[in-house]
Amino acid sequence: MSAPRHADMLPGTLEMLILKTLSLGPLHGYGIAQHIQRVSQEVLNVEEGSLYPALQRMQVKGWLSSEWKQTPTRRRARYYRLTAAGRKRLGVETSAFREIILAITRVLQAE
Amino acid sequence: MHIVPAPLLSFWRRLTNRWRDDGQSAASAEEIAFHVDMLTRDNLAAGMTPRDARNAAIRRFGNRARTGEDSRDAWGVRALEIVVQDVRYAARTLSHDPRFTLTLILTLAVGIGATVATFAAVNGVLLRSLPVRDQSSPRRAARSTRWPGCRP
Repeated sequence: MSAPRHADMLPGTLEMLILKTLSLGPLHGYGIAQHIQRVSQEVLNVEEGSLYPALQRMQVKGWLSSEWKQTPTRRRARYYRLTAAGRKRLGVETSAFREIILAITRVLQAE
Repeated sequence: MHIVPAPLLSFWRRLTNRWRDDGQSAASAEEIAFHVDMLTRDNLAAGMTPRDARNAAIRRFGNRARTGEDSRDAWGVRALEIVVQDVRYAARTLSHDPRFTLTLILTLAVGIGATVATFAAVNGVLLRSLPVRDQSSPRRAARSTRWPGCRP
């Protein structure tokens, strides 16, 4: 049995990772997936089937905006950008996530 | 900035995106095509044949049509489409059997008509109070003819 390779093992994790990735600069969907995969050293594998719905959801919530731009390789791609609300959300989610991880660690280490 | 409450704003975005549809509303075909092309390029770089590279990219992406549908779902557009589908299905089914449809319409018309008439009568006679201030003040007035020899 292989290890799970989802970026969404905990609910809301994928959205947090997207927010963090876009806080480094605007990026298209493919770029976001690549970045998360590369930085996580191939442990987190973003599924396109969840990535694009998540991006739409986050736009509806006003955390992201998007525009069509040219890539460095002169192709048209839709770039997503963090809004002020998205930046605020990233802070909220990150601290909540740290709390959960800390709590889980405590339980796992209890004797 | 926050003049409009957030839920209202998000509903407004859905609505305008439904009608504007300038490519902002969903993961458009072009956006998905771009992603598949990038994956294909990666596979080529990894040494696959062009044909295998493309097939692997599409397979990895999953069902492309479904991804588009899910993305539209996020905007609540899918719900609207389902309603439209249901209405069209109903119209199609009814048009197959005109006699059944006619019976159905007549039944509904007579039923609704009878109910409305009954309610109108009950409402006017029993439910509505008389337009006077004091409900106990109205008296019955009648004229009687007094015959000689009879007590009033």
